Amino acid sequence: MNHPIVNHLTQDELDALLVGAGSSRTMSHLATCPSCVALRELDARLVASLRGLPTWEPAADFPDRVMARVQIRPILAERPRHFSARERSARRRAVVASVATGGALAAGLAWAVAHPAAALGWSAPTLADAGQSLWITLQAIAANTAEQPWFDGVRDALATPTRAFPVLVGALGAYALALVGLRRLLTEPATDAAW
Amino acid sequence: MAPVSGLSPAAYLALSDQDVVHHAVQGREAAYRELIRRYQRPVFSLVYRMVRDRELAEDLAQETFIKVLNAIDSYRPEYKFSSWIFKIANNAAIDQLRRRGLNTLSLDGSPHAESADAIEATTLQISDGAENQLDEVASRELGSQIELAINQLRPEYRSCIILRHIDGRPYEEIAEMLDLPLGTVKTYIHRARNELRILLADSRE
Repeated sequence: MNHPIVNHLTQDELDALLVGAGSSRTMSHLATCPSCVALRELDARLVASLRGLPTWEPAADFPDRVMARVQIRPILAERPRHFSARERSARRRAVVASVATGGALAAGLAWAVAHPAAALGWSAPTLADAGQSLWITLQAIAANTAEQPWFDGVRDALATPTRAFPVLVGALGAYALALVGLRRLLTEPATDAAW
Repeated sequence: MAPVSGLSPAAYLALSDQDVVHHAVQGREAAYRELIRRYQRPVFSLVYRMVRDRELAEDLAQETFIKVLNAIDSYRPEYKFSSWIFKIANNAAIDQLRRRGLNTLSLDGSPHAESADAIEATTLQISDGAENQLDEVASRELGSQIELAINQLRPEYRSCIILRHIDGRPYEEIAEMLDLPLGTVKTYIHRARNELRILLADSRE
């Protein structure tokens, strides 16, 4: 004889019923399943009884006993900050320098907008010169590097992909280790009560 | 360092936990006291239900508050303050249970109660709404049976069932408090409810 397969309510569905949120499947299943109905009623009664349990209160002097052992921190954030004469002078100089730099940039930008042809005429050769200088610098660095006594060894080590692979892996590993080490160094010490 | 004045104690009532903590971090004693006022009952109830010894529960609750309030500037506002303090209270209670193997329950008032009034005040009760004396007795008896049954659960199940069905905390918050995956919390609560049903059925037979 074949018995029909019954999918009883899951714990999540029973939970949902406890807060009055049953789905249509839940409700239609309950209409035909006495065992799930019984389980729901048992759960509901148990939860109602648990909710009815009293809360307990510590002794009346509890707050005072706690406060006697709590160290209230000084208020750094709200104290009026007093700057020394040297600090005030340095702040003034910084403000003047910032205003002068900002003003010069703004004036330059305004002039460039007002005279676009002249600005382009000046800037194009300047940019070309800068590019040329950069290229010469790179060539000099490459030539100097190739002259170094260790260069041949490095070039041999990276000559084929088979040789280069372990070197690359080793370098990546060293980089990862350095990152982990740096992170540990920069992590704030944990306190007992911290998260 | 002397605490500074700020809001009046009454003004703290309307503030959120996060705002009260902000004032506490700034060194306002009234903010510290407001946090104690808000959480002394639920924290003490949780710890007392876990360890079932009033004096020990007071000590553990006190240590919880001291630990939290002395580290108040390490509080991370993206989490609920309640989760933080309950987590520390629960850890303190579970540590204590593990250290002492304490697993007893007094249904007839605190062993530390020294007078008839104190015994009455600490006797386990379930409801104030009983319509008559028989109901009250039955209700008290059921409450006692439930407390006894809770006390027979594993500490992890006990924490979960207390936080969920007595304190009414959502599953997600319990998971955060107990450092457990959400699915584990649900499983613990379902198992705890099943065990409670069985224990209560046994006690009535």
